Parts: sequence; C-alpha cells; structure tokens
Amino acid sequence: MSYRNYISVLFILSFNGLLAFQNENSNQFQDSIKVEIAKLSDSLRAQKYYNASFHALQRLNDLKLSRLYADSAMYYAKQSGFKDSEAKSHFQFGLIERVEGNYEKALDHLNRNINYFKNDSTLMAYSLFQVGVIHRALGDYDKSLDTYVDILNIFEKKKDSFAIASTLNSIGNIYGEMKKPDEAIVNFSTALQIFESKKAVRDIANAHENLSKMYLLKQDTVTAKAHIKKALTVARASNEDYQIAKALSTLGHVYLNSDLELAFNYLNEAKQIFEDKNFRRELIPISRDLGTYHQKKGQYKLAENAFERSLQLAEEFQEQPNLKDAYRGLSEVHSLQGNYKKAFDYQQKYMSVKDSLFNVETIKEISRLQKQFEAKKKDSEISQQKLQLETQKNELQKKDMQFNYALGSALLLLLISVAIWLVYKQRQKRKDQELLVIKNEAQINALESLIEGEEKERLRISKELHDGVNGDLSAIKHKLNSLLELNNKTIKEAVVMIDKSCEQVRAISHNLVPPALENFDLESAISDYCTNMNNIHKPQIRFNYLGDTLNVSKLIEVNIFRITQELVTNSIKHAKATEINVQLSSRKNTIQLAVDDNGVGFDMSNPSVDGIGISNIKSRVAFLNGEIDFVSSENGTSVNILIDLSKINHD
Amino acid sequence: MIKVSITDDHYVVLKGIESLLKDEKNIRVISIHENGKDTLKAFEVEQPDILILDINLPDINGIMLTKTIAKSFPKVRVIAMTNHEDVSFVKRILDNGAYGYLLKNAHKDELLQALETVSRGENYLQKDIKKKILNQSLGRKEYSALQPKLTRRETEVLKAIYEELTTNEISEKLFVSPKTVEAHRMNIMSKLGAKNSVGMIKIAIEKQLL
Repeated sequence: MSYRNYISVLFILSFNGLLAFQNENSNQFQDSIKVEIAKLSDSLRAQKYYNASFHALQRLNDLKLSRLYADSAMYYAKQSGFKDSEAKSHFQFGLIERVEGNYEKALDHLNRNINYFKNDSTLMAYSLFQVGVIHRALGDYDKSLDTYVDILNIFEKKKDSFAIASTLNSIGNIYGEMKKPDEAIVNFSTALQIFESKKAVRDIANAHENLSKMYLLKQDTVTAKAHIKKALTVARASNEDYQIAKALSTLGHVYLNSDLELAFNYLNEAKQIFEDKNFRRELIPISRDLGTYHQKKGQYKLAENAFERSLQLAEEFQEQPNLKDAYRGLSEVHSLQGNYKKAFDYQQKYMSVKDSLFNVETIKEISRLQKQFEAKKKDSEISQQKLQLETQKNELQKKDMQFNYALGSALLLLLISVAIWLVYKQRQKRKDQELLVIKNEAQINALESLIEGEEKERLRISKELHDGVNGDLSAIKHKLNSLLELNNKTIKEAVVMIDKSCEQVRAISHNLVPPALENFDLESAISDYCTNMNNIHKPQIRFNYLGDTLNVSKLIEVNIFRITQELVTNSIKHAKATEINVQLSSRKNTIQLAVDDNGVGFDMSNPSVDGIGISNIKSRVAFLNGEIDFVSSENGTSVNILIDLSKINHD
Repeated sequence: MIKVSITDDHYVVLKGIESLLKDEKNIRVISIHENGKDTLKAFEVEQPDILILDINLPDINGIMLTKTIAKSFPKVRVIAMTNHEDVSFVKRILDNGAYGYLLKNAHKDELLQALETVSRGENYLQKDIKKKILNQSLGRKEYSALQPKLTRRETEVLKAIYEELTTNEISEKLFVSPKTVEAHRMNIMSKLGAKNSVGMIKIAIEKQLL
C-alpha cells in the first residue's frame, strides 16, 4: 500500500468518521487469510498478519479480529527475528489500543515503534501522528500540537507537500477544538492551497468545510456560506456523494436562520443522498434541522416526526449532543402543541443529557485545566529546581573561588613568611658575624689599649727612674765624690749606698722598658736582655738571630719582647734550667721566636701552670694573630711562636 | 791641657761633672750644653778635645749626635756617659765614632782614666761594659761555631725531612701549621748554610746532626 493512501486512511481514522462503513464480511476475510498464511514463511506471515490486522481495523471495524491478527503478527515477527515487523506490530497495537481508548498502553507501543524507527523519519511520523491523536483525545492540546509540529518538520524535510497539508489540517482541527478559529483558519487555508495545487478533490472539499465551520464559530455566516458552497461545488464536480451530502447538510443548517425554503431544499437533498447510501449516522443532524424547519413553519406534527427520527438515530449511535438537540426540539414541539406533560418529560431528558454533557465537558475542561496547571506547576518546579541548582552551582563556584583565593593567599603568606624568615635568618647570621667581628675587634682594641697603656706607663716610670732619680743619684754621687777629698768615711759609705741605689733604679727601669727596644729594635732588645740576664743569673742564656732585618711596628716588637721576657723568666725561675736558647728569625712576612730550655718541663694540663704567665703569653700571641707551639717534657721545654705579619690587621 | 765639653739634659749632672773636673790641672771644661743643638752651635765657635755626651737628650739622641760630630768635627772625641749599660748602646755609639763609654755611676778615677785614655787617641770602656761585650761575643762565637746548634723542634723537622716526609706530613706529625714547619726548615738551612733540602741533609750528616 502506498504510503499516501496509508496517511489519508490514518487521517480518516482519526475522525472516527468512516467507521460506519462495513462493506466486507469478517468471516469471509478470515477464511481467505487462513488459506494465504499457510503458504508463507514466518517473516512473511508477520507481514501478512500485520496487513490483515490493519484491514480488520480499517475496513471491517472488527477490533477483536484486528487484535488477534496483531498478536499473530508480533509472534511471527519475534519468531523470525525480523525487527522491522516487530516494530510495525507495535504500531498496530498502538492503533488498536488508541481506538479502544487505552491511551497509556497505546503510547507505550507507539514509543517502542518510534524508538525503533528513529532513523526512518517517515515511519516515525506515522507513530507520532497517532501520539498526537492520543494527546488530543486526552485533551492535552499543547502536547498534541507539539507532536504535530514535529511531524510537520519531518515532512518539510522530506518535502512531501501532501503530508504537510494533511498535518496542517490536523493542526487546524486541534485549534478548532481549542476554540481558536483564527489559528485554525490559517492552517486550514495553507492546507487548502496545497490540496488545490495537488488537485486532491476530496481533501479540498473537506478543507472548505472545515473553514466554514471555523467562520461559523466566528459568527461570520457570510464567509462560512461561501466556503461551504465551494465545498459543495468541488464535491459535485467530483461526484463525491458523501462530501456532497455533508456540504448540503451544513448549508441547510446555515440557511435555517436566514432562508427557510433554501435550507429545506439543501437538507432534503442531503437526506436523500445519505438515505441512498445508508449513511444513517449523518441523518441525525439532518433530521434535527428538518425538525427545526417544520417547527418554524408551524407544521408541528412533521416537526415532531423529524425530531423523533433524529432521537431514534442518536440513541442508536449514542450521539449525546444530537440526543440533547433532539430532546430539546421535541420538548419545544410538544409545548407548542399544548402537550405540556410530554414537553416537560422531554425537557427533563434534555436537561439531564445537557447536564451530563455539560459535566463531561466540564470534567474534560477541568482535567484539561488541571493538566495545564500541573504542567505549569511542574514547569515552574523544574525551573525553580534549575534555579536552585544554578544557585547551588554558583554557591559551589563561589565557595570554590573563595577556597582557591584562601588557598592562594595562604600559600602566598607562607611563601612570604618563609622568605622573611630566610632573610631574617640571613640577616641575623650576618649580624652575628658582624657582632663577632666587632667583638673581636673590641677585644683586640681593648688588649691593644691595655698593652699600649701598660707600655706607656712602663715607659713613663722607666724614664722617671732612669733619667730623674738615677740622674739625681749620680749627681749626688759626684758631689759626694768631690767632697771625698776631705776623706770622710761616712761619705764613702754614702757613695756606696748611692751606687747600689743607682743600680737598682737602672734594673727597675730596664725591666720596665728595655732601652734598646725604645731606641733601636727587637733584635738589639732581646740580645741585650739575654746578655743582661746571662750576667745576672746562673743559667747560660744564648741568643741567636737568623734571617732578614726586622721591620715591624713597635707594638709588635714590644709584644714579642714581652713574650721572650716571660718565657726566659719562666725557664729561669720555674724550669730550673741550666741552658736557655733564645732564637729569633725573620723571613719575608714571618717572624719566629723559639725558646728552648733543658729544665724540668711543666705539665700543660696543670691549671696552676697558667698562673706563671702562659695565659699572658697566649693572649699576646692571639693579639698578634700568631701560632704557638708548646712542647714540654722532663728533658725540657720548647716554645715556638710563629707570627705571620700579613695576618696582623693592625699596624 | 785637655779641653772638655759636657752635654747632658740634667743640669745637676752637668754641674756635678763640672765640679768633679774643676780641680784637675790638665783638664779644662770649656762649655756645658743641655741639648744637641746648642752643642753643635757652640762647636762652630770652639771645639773641645773631648765631649762627654749623654745618650738621652731632649732634641737628638747621643748616638746620632756622635755620628754628626764625627763627621762635622772629626777632631772632637766623644765619650758616652750614660745610664744605659746595654751592649747594643755601646756597640752602636762606638760604631758611630765614640771613643769611650762610661756609665753615670762611674767613679771619678774611671772618668779621669777615660779622659786620659781617649785623649791619647785610644778607646776606653768601663770595666763592666767591657766584660759584657766580651761575654756576648763569646756566646755568639760559640753559637755560630763549626757545630751549629739546632733547637729541639728544628732537630725533629730535620729528622722528618731526612725521612722524606713532606711539609704537610711533618705538620700533621708535629701538630703545627705547615708555615711553622717551613719556618723551621728555613732556619735549619740558614744555620747549616745550605741552599736546598738535599744540601741541608748532606751537611747535617757531615756535621753529625743526624
């Protein structure tokens, strides 16, 4: 079956309009199917059963049989693993369930079909079409519209103008039911244009009829009449009896309010056609309208008959709105005839049908409103949730940012503190070093000033003793000597005493500051010192000088001299040596002093040893930045002192 | 007749010596001075035969003054008369041209003897001084004699060098710095008159130091 026919059939199906046709006998059909199926393979059987199911529904209006065949089609489809057939069977089931009013089941089947045919947009469109119908039946016009728009998109992509027009027609119908005639008219008009270009006569007539209905809804009877007349013309030109009759019926209804006779003619003609073709259902509104005509003409009996006929048919087809109209007409006619009881009865029936209809409408409306409300509520909930999510996300992001900032700043702080700490430590270290240097310098300065002060004081006392006291003593001695001529014993004694005094003074003065050091150099001073000591003391003291001429500051000389003095004195006094060798050598930047003795030696670790001037020697060596090497044994003591002149940072 | 001048920064001393010589018939004190400048100035007018000179003067020291006088007034003979009894002073001033050396504690006889000796053109040293110089010279001689005396450390270093130890090894062995070791080595070479380590060992063996 070509899919255009398929579509048009589907459209018709959606109106329940042609379900009245029952041209074929179900039993005959079943037999023929049985014979054919026996010859086929599973996959082909599925196909056959599918087509049969469709036929049963479409042509025979036998839902039971259709369902049976659909079951078989599904069974064989699964058996053969032919997925296409399985999906098609789902479609068929969707259709059946929809017709039976099981919309949920229908949607389930249709969705399976849609999922399978995702890549085949045309086949998907069929299912979508059914979904749209279901939504419409459920009163969910918005969803229905959305679905039709989807279908429209599919067909626009396929550039299938006929299918587009059919869809537009459906959309127009929905708008009509939503009581939005303007939107409906736009869709119907577009559909009409396409149908006209395709010369689809039946569809053109149908579109005109739909348009006229919409204009009636808008109370525009003139335009409505024009469209219905066009529909009639088209239908007549194509000899489409059903369409002709329908148009005539509508025309008659429209003219009831303006031209009674014309209306009667139209209605009669329509009635004739429907009766000929046995479209009994269509006779319901025609009978009603004829009843109205007769009522207006005052032909109450005829009117009553017409209303009765309408009522009878309406009851047969359970057409509630028509039933209501029939009851009202009868009530009015009986009232006019004076049969108030009957009038009242019909009035009662009219009211109850009207109420029930109203209830149905109201319930439908309420449920529709409820659904819309719920949908809106859900939408708002969703949007609220979205908003909440968004807010949460924002907050999370904010928190993240805050955390990042906090982390960043914490790290930065840490880095800075570490840097500060390092800098501080470095500075501290440098300061410590500086402090140490300053301390050392201060120590050296103190020692220097101490030594210098000491030396100066020694020099002062020495000079006073030597030049002052000794000079005076000498002078007195000479004076006395000149008196000696007088030969006086006492004077002689005095002279001897003065001599002794002179010697003492000289010795003291000498000890304080060696004159040779003051006037000459270290070599001379040590040499003189050794000579003098040799003269005074028992041990043999020898001095030896090696190397170049000394050229150092007095301060260094004084210190070396004092060290020598101390060492020699120690050797004489404590070591009980009989031989002391003093050696001074000078080469380039180094001065070496060596004092060896053959004494008893001393224990370096004995703290009392320090009392005999070693600490003094050590501090002087330290002051000169020199090295000291003590070696002591029972064979004697050796002291070697090395002074590196380049290491002395003071002049 | 001996013409004598006296230079001493102590006026009492000047007068003392002057009065001491006053009664001597063949000695005449022609001038007394309290500093070197006055002395030289006076010498330009009249020069003595002998100048009794103190070493400690306020403007110039006697040792230097002696040198100047010996150069400018060669006929003037200087006798140092000072409290300094150190050999170095004696040697220096004698080197600079002094003829005699007396300590201020000298007896009148010694002074007179000195004046007489020097006036003859001979040197005079007071007895104690003479002894001191002699002692020192003897000590020196003994020291620098054929058998040089090494210090204890020098002997150890010499032995270590003989054992072919390097300077660093020696310094580690003796717990002294390499510089000290080097100073010891230089001293040994100097004492032995060697030019290098090999020569040093050779001489040390010859002199039976090893």
